[in-house]
This record gives sequence, structure tokens and C-alpha cells, in this order.
Amino acid sequence: MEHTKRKRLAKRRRLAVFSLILFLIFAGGLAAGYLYLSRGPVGSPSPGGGPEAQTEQGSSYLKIYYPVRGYLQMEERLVTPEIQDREEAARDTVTEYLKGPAGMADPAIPPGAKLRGLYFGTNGILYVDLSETFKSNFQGDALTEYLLLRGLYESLLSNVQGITDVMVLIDGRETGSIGGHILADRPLSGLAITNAAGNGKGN
Amino acid sequence: MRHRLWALAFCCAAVLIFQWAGAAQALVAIDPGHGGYDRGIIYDTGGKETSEKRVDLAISKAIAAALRAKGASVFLVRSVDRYLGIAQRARIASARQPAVFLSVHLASANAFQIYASLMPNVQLPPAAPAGGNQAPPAAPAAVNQAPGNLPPAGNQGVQAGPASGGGGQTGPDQQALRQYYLYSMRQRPYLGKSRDLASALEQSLKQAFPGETISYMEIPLPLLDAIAAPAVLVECPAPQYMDYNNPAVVSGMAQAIAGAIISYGTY
Ligand SMILES: [Zn+2]
Repeated sequence: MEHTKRKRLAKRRRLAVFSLILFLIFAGGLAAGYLYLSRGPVGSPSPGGGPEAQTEQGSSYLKIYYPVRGYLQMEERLVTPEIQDREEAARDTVTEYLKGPAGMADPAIPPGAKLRGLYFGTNGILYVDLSETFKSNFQGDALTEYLLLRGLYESLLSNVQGITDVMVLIDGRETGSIGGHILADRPLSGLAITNAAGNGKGN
Repeated sequence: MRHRLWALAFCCAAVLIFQWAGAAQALVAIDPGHGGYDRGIIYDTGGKETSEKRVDLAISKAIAAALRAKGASVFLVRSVDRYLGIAQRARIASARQPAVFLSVHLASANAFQIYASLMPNVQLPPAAPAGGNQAPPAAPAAVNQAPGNLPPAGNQGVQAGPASGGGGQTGPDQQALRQYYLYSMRQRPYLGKSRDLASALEQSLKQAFPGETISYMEIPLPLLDAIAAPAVLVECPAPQYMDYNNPAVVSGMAQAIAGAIISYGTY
């Protein structure tokens, strides 16, 4: 009699432990799922307003769109240390953009171009102040110039939270054009249109 | 009966005279790219520098000569080595109300590139009601004014108007914005004709240069946006691949381009 009682008690305890383990697994799964989903994919709008750089254990990944042979080619760049705020995200994005695509002998990015400063303006416009070499060292035709500006715009919008447009300054001032084909005296969102000819973003 | 014949002959003559007069008035604007301190692309041609601006002007002058030889009226937006901004070019060309506009440049590679403008679907601010405020077509404060009196050509994205402007407002700011965008959108009704012109150029260049790569593309080009006429930008192959010091090469290219403009049907 006593033996049966003890046996039943042990059975109940095992069931309770098993249920607890099941519950913990379920709760852990829920929590992990919530964390994963609330973070969202890179490039998609986040609750804070706009995309942001993806961070991972002391480093951040940036999506950079480079003009390569008539298309924009996306490269993921790892930057260390981890990006802390949107100003850092913007600075690192422009710096990586100006380095040009990996392994390209003849990049469309003007050599020697430097970032002078960044200003977050009203209405979500990010002002990117570049050195004069961005203009004077540019060598390219109409398509190259278009992709140069559009690549900068797409890269910044992909990585910097809360901006809606980008305006390029040269040595702190507005410039008419970088290469004589495209006006750069206005925010760059006007270039972000695509047609069936596929002259927008590449892969 | 004789009177009727005379009337018929008079009508035919009148139609012919009107057609001739129309053709005589139809102008072709040729815009040689770059100029002055804007040298365009600097090419290394056998250890020697060749600047795009010089070749653009040489080809443009040859096209103008070929068109004149075919009876067309032509003017060059720049005929000397002088800097002109994009807005200035649009203003100079628009002042003459050309029937066709052609901007001449060089490509980075060994290819002909023909461009028409790619324009966004801009939602214009609503028109002022009759008798309402009519503001001058100056650029709104939120948008940067290009040099000169011409509002800058080009596009500002899909929403032409300040985000805080309010949907139904038609105040002076809204009307200024409307005028401003209308000017930048002058190419819109001509986009189909611009594509036809580009197609005629493509065919003509294919015939004249059968081995060459010839491609057509549409990208946002603010200069073309501001032109109220069929307008294209053509880039000829880089000088490493085409001997522009050879007058026969330049003349052959000019003949092909001029032939396309003539066959396009303006004359
Ligand atoms: Zn050019």
C-alpha cells in the first residue's frame, strides 16, 4: 500500500518536472521568437523609423551599393567597433563607400575623396560634406555619374536610421554637378527611380 | 471650271508654302557637353591627354554642318570652349524653342550610349482656383535655386511639395512650387517622341558602325527634363577606340547622327 503510494507520488513528481521542462522550452522559444522578430531584417523599416546597420558582437555590417559596370552592386562591409548611433552609421557608410568596391582596378568612385562632415537637417535630410576631390577626380560618363550619386543615396538609406533623403555638399557648399551630366544641387531622392531597363540597383 | 482649277492650285501652293515655312522655322539644338574648366573625361590616348569637351565640340560642329547641308536650321548651345552649367544650357536651348534637342558627349567605354530622360510620377500641388494667387515661378525656399533665372531642371522625387504643405492648399507657396515643377517637367509630353528619336539614332548608328556596341537607356537627366521638345543625349565611343583626329571618322559619325534626325521626321 505504502509502496504504491510512493510510486504514484514519484510518478506525479516526474510528470511535474517534465511539464516544467516543457513549459520552459516553450517560454524560451516564445522569447527567442519575439526577440528575433522585433529586431527585423536589415534594410526593412524598424520601429525607430528607417533602416539601420546590423550589429553583431562588437562589429556592425553595412550594406554598401557600389557603381560597377553600369549597375549598383551591393557589398556587405564589416566595421569594428560596433556602430553606436546614426551619426557613426552615416560616417562609416560614407567612409566605406569612398573606399570603393573590393578588388576593382578602375573604380567609379573618385580617388582621394574624403568625408569632411555630416549634418542631420530638418525633414530627414542628411547633408554629406565631401572634399573637392570627389568632384575634381570624378572621371565618368552620364551613367557612371548617376550611379555614383544613387549608390551613395542607397547606401545611406540602407544603413542610417531616420533619414529620408541625402544632399551632397562639396567643401561645405552646394555644387551644381559632380561630372556635368546630373544636377547635384538638390537632394538625391529624385534619382531613386527605376524603369524596366534595369538601370537601378543590381544584385 | 477654270476658276476651280485656279483655286485648287492656290490651295496646293499655300499648303506647300506653309510646309516649307514650318520646316524653315524648325530648329535643331546641338549641345556639346562640358566646356571651360569642366573638361569632362580626360582620356589617355597613347601617352597624350584628350579631353572630352574638345571632342564633344568637334563632333557637334560636324553634326551641325551635316544638318545644314541637308537643309536644316541648327544652333549650337556652345560654339566655343566655355563653361555652361546644366541650367544655363536648358535656358539657352529653351529660349530658341528647338524642334529637336541633342546633347553630345563621350562614353567611358567603347560604345555608343543613347539616353532619354527617366522622369518620376510627380504629384503636382493643386492648381490655384480662378482668380486665386499667382506666384512667380521661383524656386520655393525648401528647394535650392540653380544659377541663373531658370528654375533648376530635374526631379525631386515622387512627391512635389513640402510634407507639411497640406493636401488641399493652393496658397502662394503651393503655386510657386507648382510653377517650379511644371518647368522641370517640360519634357514629359515629349518622352514618347524622345524615345522615337533615340530609336532612329540607334538604327542609323548601327548601319554606319556595324561592329560597335550601341545601347539605349533611360536615366534621370535634368537637362533633358527641362526641354520642351524631343530630346536625347548621345555618348560616342571613348577616343581610345575611335580616332577623332581623323576627319573622316568625325564626318561619318556626324552624317549618321544628322541622318537620324532628318529621318526622324522633323523636316
Ligand atoms: Zn560627358
